[in-house]
Amino acid sequence: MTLEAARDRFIRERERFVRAAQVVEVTVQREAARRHLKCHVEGRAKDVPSFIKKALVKHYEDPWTEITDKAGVRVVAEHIGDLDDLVEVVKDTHCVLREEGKNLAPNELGYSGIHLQVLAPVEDDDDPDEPVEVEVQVRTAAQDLWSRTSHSLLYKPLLEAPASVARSLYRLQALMELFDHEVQRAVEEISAHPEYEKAQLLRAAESLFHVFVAADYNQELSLEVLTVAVDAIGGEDFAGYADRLAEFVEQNATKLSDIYEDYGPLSEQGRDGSYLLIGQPESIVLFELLNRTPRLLWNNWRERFDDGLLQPLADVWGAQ
Amino acid sequence: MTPDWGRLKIDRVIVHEVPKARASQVANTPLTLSQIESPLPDDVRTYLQERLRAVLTAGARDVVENPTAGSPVPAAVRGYLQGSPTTFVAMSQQLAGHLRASQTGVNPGGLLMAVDCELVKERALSIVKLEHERGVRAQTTTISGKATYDVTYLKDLLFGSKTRVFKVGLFTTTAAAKTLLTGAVVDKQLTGAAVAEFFLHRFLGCQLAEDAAVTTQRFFLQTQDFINTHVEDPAQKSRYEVALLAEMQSARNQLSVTVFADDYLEPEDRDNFVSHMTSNGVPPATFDKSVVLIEGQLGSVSIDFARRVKVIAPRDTLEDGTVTMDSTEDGRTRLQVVDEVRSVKGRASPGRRRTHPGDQTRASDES
Repeated sequence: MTLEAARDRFIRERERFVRAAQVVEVTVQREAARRHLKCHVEGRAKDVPSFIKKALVKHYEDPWTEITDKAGVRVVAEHIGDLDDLVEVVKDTHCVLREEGKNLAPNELGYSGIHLQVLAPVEDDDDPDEPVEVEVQVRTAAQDLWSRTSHSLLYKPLLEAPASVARSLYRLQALMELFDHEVQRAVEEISAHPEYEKAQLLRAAESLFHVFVAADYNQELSLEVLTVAVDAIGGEDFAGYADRLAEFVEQNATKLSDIYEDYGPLSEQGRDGSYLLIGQPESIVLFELLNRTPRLLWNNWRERFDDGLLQPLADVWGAQ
Repeated sequence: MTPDWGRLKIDRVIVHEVPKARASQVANTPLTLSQIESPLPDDVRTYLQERLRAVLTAGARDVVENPTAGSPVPAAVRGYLQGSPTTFVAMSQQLAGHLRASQTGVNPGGLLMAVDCELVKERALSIVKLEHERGVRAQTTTISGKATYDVTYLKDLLFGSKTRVFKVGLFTTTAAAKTLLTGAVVDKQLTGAAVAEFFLHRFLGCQLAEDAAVTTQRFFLQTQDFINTHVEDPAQKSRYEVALLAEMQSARNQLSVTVFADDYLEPEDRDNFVSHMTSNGVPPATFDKSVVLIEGQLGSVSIDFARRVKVIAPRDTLEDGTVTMDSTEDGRTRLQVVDEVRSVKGRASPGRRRTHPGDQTRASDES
């Protein structure tokens, strides 16, 4: 297909590519969230001038076929350790036509993001005979920054980039790799911290707690109390428990709201300290456990603490 | 289904004093009736609310109106919840009057508190009988310029967090619309037949919704169902079954799901057990034990295997180790009997005679 014909067709059909990019974006976003993978997902259809420019710069003979990123989705991971899992997300949710990724030699620097050519899920108004291809790029934030910078410096300018610019970009690749691996090292070190699990749990509880209570709390007490909670949660992995906690809050929003209003840290009762733990974010976790496994919680609680701290929560919740 | 007592919210409260009734020949101390509702500051409201939630959660039993009791309370409760013109104050005064009329010389005096409340957004009325408790209070003071504590003896404390002297009834609008009023009652003395008479029967005009023998039978059957459906380890099954039989035959005259769980089950099984029992209609509160409906099932443990082997073992043989059960490596169960064989006999396979009608004919011909 000539460039002119490809241009006309792209103008005519571009809306299909916009929709395809959106569908892939939402699909990947949802599945990544379900697997508790943190990432930023962004889809777009190429604009017509970029389509033409790319065809001219690359000297494509059949631009319609050779330009494979008419619809594209970027999946940007928070750290390099999540890249493989995000690639799996894309593969598990789409028909993958091609996968490209660079295995760099030990003495080589370069961009190592992974590109997958997928078919967008067919929608009702799509032509099932010619499904839309979408290019999905999976990369880290550092790779994304480098890639976008190099693209604008090397491919977009009207002037030929001097060798010094190419050299700068090459040197930046080393920084990109260093950045990614330092972040990964930090992530692994934090994850191995003995208090990490509790801190994660506290973070999840805190964000739910602050929906009901606008007050500060004693973080040291939280971490101590959560030791018991982590034991009572048992084998359930943290991500799964965070989901359970959010669901619990959603299902019991009215009851929790009433409790925090009557017994929370800003209430008449809460101010005299009788309901100390209701003023703490871990109360959300304790209420969930009192609701689901009260006897196991009590059993673990009594190994470390006095009944008097937990009893008011059990009483106001109406826990068996 | 057990109500979510954690959703109980108090709106209004009124309190009347009902002193102890004297012997019939002596004039009674008159009632001290409130003429208006009690002021309800937030800390009092939320404290009473918490106490009611806690005691109802721990001990509420389902009750139903007993028309033969002759108490005016069901009609008063029904009328109030269904919007009769009788005011909250007048209705509560009527309740106090009947509480006095229900008392004999042995019933202690105290306060009657009527509580207008909401249970999961449904209007409800709670009737609470409280007794005064004694205690001391220590407050800092200065005597002759020296710091000390002024300790005061108090004999009018009410509804402390550890108190056991209260009786509570609670009725909702939905329950009031039924032909016979239903509700929930907490009374630590409910399990002793004679003392239960006063609050539940004479005063509230109600009775327990279910006979003790039926509740006991349900406890027994549901515990067995839990053992067979939730417990995988054969040795554990055996221990739990023996514990159940022991509990049923023990001298204790009360049963409690939570006490049984805490006394006999592994920590990881306790919540599932309580949840299984309460969702199958066994009350979470303590109830009287009556084994009349299950007496024949308490002497032995019957163990059925997939390949139609059936073993009936007296309870004590499982307790003393004569009969043991454990798991094999392939996940099946090994049952071991270490004893002296007394006799070995042939026996018809289970169901054989029924599946061959001709056998029956021959048997009757021969007779």
